[in-house]
Amino acid sequence: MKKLFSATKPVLLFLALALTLIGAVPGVSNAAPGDWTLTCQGPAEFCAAVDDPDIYVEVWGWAFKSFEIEL
Amino acid sequence: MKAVDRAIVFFLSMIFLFSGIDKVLHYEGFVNALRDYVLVPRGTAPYFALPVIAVELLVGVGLLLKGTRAAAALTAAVTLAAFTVAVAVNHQFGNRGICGCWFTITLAQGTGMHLMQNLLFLGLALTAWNDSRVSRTAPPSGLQTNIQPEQGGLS
Repeated sequence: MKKLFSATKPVLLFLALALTLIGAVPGVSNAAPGDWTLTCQGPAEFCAAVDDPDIYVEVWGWAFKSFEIEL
Repeated sequence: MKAVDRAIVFFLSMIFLFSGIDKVLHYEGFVNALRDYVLVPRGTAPYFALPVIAVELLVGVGLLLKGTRAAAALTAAVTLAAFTVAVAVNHQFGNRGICGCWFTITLAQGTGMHLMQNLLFLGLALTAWNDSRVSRTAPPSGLQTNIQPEQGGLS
């Protein structure tokens, strides 16, 4: 049992490292440039009110509409 | 401590430190992301943000120090379990918005892959906790623990 436990550690570490690296690639499990579905973080009525194509912020060089707007 | 155990502790520490610093640098974005969580009651997101960041930073530092490693690893496991539940509930019932992590790299979402990643981190935290707990209770190598009672002592 102890051996099995020890053997799973490197596998767990490898998988965690791999998923972390893959998750950092844009568009894999995260927002891709131009993905306007990830826009407003807030109540629906607020998000509808700020649904304006001119409102956007740039995050890491990409434009995300109304993402970090003060609520 | 074996190399793989050291690697696990270092990896977890870097994840927590990076995550905590990342949230400090994108504080408003993190608060907004918290607002999108189903389990976070409306209006309370700003009150959750600071404690979450503080716990992440403390766990990151605590994992690097031998004296606090076991407690930090256990806290990491509990925190990751809570994050996993929050992301899972959001994934099932929420808007599937931004998870509030890794702002510096990208805008990560609470996807199934993110859940799997959290579960792997949770597994690593539990192994780190188990190892640091065992190494704290185990006697130093070479120390004799099987002490026999003296012959002819008090009876």
